[in-house]
Amino acid sequence: MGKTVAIKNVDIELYRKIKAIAALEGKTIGEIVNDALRTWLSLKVNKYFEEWLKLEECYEINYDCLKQNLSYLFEKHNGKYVAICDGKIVSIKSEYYDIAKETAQKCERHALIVKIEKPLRVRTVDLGFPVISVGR
Amino acid sequence: MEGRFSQEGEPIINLKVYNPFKSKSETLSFLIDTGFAGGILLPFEVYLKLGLQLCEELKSKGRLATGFEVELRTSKAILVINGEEILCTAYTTLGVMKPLIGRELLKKTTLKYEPKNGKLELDLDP
Repeated sequence: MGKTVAIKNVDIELYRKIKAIAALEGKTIGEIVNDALRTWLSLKVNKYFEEWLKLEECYEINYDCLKQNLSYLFEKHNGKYVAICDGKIVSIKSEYYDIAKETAQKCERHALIVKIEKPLRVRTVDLGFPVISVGR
Repeated sequence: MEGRFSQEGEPIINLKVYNPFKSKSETLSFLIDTGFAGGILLPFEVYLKLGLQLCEELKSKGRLATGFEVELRTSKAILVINGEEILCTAYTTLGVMKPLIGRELLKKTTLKYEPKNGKLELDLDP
């Protein structure tokens, strides 16, 4: 049996949506909140979370370097691959395999390899049904 | 290549996957998932074992059937099907439970799916 907990500052719009979904799925709001909390916890207590955070930091540094050099890269190296590690451009090549091999030798923690072509955009990928653990 | 069905009836195929510089490999049991649009989805620990963080691309957004979105680390990997090496997109996020093979690769293959006869075959198209 669950406990009643009062939570301040809940986004009322989110709450309304959850209430509507709960009604559709024949669940209580408590059940949905418990599911959401389990999912959130499973991500946070994952034993690789620290490793993920370290990579995240490296990614941000390398991504910043990419953003700062983007106009130069479009102007001079359009269509080629650029490799960035530790916040520096370490290689620019035409062939993916060549740059991947070189990068693996030069970089230790993380490398970003990006093909310089417009538009540089975030890809959206359909994953189908959930494949992430909910920590049950 | 012959696959199998798990006890839960999931179509599974064992495939070898390399990093793009071919310094590390793993043989994994992939769940064939036509709902997944990408190449392969790997548990984060496998992604690290293969060293795919050394050739990451810009992150992608993964959209679940429920509409929920997750951030995906994105890289490349080489998958071996029928002895042929195929470069594909590899994704990961925290909490991925099992490796998936998706439509980016499946569209290059012929899949025979006969669960009643326990028959599952995946072959690369010529």
